[in-house]
Amino acid sequence: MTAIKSYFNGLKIALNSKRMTLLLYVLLLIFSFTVLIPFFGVLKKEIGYSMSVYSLLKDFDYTAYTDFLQHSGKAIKPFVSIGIWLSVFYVFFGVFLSGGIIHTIYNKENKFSLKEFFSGCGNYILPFLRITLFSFFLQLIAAMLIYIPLMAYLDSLRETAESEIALVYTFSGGAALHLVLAVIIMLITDYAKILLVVNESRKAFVSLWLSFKFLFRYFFRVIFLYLLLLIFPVLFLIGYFYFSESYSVVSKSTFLIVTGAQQLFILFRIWFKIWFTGGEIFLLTETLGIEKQTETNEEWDVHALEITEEEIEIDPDEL
Amino acid sequence: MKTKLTSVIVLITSFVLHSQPTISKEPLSPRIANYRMNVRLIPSTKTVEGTEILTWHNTSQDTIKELQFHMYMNAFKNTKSTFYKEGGHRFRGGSDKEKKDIDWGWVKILEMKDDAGNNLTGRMKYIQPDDDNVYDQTVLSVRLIEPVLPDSVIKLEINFKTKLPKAVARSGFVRDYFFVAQWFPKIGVYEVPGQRYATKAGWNCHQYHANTEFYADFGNYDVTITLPKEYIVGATGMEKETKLNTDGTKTVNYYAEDVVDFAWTASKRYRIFNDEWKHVKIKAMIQPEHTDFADRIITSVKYALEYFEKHVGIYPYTTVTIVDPPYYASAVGGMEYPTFFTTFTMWGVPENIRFIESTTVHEFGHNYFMGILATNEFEEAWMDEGFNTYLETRVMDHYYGEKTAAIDFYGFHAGDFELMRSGYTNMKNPKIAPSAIPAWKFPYDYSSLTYSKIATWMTMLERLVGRETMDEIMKTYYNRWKFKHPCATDFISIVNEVVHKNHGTKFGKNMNWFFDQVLYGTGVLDYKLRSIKNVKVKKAKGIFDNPTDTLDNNKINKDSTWYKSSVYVERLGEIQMPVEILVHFANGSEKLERWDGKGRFKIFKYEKPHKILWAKLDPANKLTMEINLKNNSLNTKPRTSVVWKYASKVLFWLENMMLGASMIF
Repeated sequence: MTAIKSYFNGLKIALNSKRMTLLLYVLLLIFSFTVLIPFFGVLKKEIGYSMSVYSLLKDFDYTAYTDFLQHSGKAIKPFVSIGIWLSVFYVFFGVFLSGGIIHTIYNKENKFSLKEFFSGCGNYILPFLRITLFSFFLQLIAAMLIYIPLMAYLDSLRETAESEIALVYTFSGGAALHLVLAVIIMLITDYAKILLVVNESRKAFVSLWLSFKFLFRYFFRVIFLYLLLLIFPVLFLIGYFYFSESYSVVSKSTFLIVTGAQQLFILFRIWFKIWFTGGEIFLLTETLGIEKQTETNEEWDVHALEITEEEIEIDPDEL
Repeated sequence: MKTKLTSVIVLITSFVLHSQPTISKEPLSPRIANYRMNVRLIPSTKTVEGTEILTWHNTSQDTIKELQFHMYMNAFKNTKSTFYKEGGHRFRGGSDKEKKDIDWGWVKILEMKDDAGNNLTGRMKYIQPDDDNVYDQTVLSVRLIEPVLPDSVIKLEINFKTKLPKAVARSGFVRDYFFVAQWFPKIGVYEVPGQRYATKAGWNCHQYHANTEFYADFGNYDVTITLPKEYIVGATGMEKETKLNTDGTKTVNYYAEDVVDFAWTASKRYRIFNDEWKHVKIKAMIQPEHTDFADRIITSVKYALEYFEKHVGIYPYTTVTIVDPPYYASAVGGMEYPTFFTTFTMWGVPENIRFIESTTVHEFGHNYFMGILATNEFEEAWMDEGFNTYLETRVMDHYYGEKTAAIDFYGFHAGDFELMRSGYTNMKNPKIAPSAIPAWKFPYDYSSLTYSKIATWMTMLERLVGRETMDEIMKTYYNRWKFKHPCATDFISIVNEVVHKNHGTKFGKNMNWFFDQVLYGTGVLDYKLRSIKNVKVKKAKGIFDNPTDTLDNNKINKDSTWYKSSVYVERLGEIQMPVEILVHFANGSEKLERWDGKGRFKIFKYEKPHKILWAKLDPANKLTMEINLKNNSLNTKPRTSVVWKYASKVLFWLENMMLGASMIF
């Protein structure tokens, strides 16, 4: 089956992308350090020579923790805002990087080249940004379409529901539906980016339209691959969770073990992302019968389309 | 044979006790205000109407010409009541939402007659002793035709009607669920000189404010309620009889002795769980979707019964009923009445989040603090809320763990006392008001100052005088003041008496200095370990007139060093408490210093061959009111391990946040 083939090809690609994985991890680390280094300094200064927080080393201590936040919270709080803004900025940086990731994987370069990678990043940044912004608005609309009527319904349900279970289930159902929609929009975004690279195009909205078509024509295949790709990360997350419950930082060695495990987790997250992208690229090219730079499938070729971004026509037969 | 006989005796005793509402056949209280009521609940109109026969005993030396009643339900009559003006409708699940006519509540006396048949209905008027708000109708004055002579009894027949409000502030209805509290004309307390702070006799009958609770005399309640037969009823005291009527209703009779209040509930959805603990019949009335919590609720009540009996006094009643209201009536949750109280639950709450247990233990504890030790909740709210919170934290931490009692959830855990203490120490302005003011006068942070602050200083008192002495204080307080109306000075006297007996003058002539600061004052407790100094002593050089001036040099030879060290402690807060300081030297030796904490600073000096490595104020954590633990210790060689640990956590979560955000788009 194509989805299973794509799964294993994605894994193969990820296994051959160690340098790219490392590059992405280092870049993430650099970003993080812009906050972490000043945070470390502030935390060290705030703790100073006091011993009040030593009880936090072995285990969580509510009294020590809340007392510390009560008196040093003002110094620490700005880092929360900075962290949030950094994440927002990283979204855009991630868009920049995804051009390089897809370009590198699709072009199947045998030796990873920084020049090629960043060339890919730069080449696709603008159309990818357009896709991302559009995706953001789609996500917002999806959330509003679900939560506004859901909240209104919950408000009225509160007057009649016999127990809070009805409210919990109703909200959970709405949240589940939102999750499905959010995943679909995310997949449309992913495949739109891939199509841009495959077609060497810069027509973002046409790509989005083709991606939408692709997703709904090969819906089960796409979703099946997505669910397959989720297995390993979920198992890994559970494994990490049990590990973190078993170990606490009580000495230098346990600190190194715990920190090492945390960073390994992050490395794997990045590696899974490459696995995902590799799998998606393979699924798309295999399904549409597109070989790298040698053949094009006119139906899915942006350049072959006579319609422009402003005149997208929907042909029911094609669907 | 002996065991069999003992078992038979226990069985017979239980049987006998279970057929009476208290453990004693003799009256436990003065039984000043006794009520016999016959009422009917009409679910369609949300009203309760009927007759109340009040037998009131004038225990004073005065001839009483006027009676005063609490008409609490009128607080919910309109937006001009004192309760509404003070914003009370926003508490406990209330809101500013527009109300329909049926949502308002009130109580009205249709007719009042004395035992001579005199009609007193036209001699009633509403008064406002607290704030002159003429629209407030929560206190009713009745001028008697025939006064009540000293040490005499008056019997009144009162026909009344109560319209229940949509559940707000502990009472009301939602759909066909009813929780009926503060629902009948309740006579106030006539205080005699020497009782509490009264210098002259008079009515102590306050209006119903947003922040106030209640105050009433002890008595017997014999209440008969008629309502549709599908309703399951629970109430204060014991159920004596249930009779099915031919018109589709049933009549239930509840009886309670030596209590200060009577509340009841009716719903078609309750599931009943029964259990027993020694002489106490436990009844839990649970919503169908919460039946999984019945065990947790009953277990926590048993823990509370056991702990209170051991550390305060025996529970004198033979019943305890716990009510679990539905989510839509949460406004009635977490409230106490004698032998009968409501808790809070929510579907799906895991076992390691224990607000169900802590609420249950807390509301049970009110049987003691306010139910048996019937303090004036208007004027001294802290005496029931604070004392009860203190005991609640002890029960919870004892049975569920000092660091895990309140919550123990995937690495995040907190004890009940820890949580409670932070409610005080994390106040934005802990100096805003003393705790010992009438409840309606708090500017804000009422609960921090009446619950958390009191529990915190009571724990501090316990750690200063010792657990044994504290238990003796509580037991003496309970035994001396049960079924009476104690006040702050009564409790403080007992503290002075017991502490003096056990500790002599260790804490001074008495403990008034303690209460003056923590209860009547607004100061905070903040000691700071300002500095540690280690100065290497060098051999004295130069010309000395006296050979002994260089004796110190003998201590210092070429192989050893000598240090002049000091620890500087400061008092930043206003509260003065005896402080202990633990000083740790480089060779591992330690010295525990004591300071009376009165001055603004204290310096401890040492001359030793070893430096001071670290010092810690209050190493035994006695000073629970300390608002800043960060400045209580200093380490000359600070460990950065905690910094590294939390920095690596922050790094991890930051990376996850960035990756997560970038994944979505």
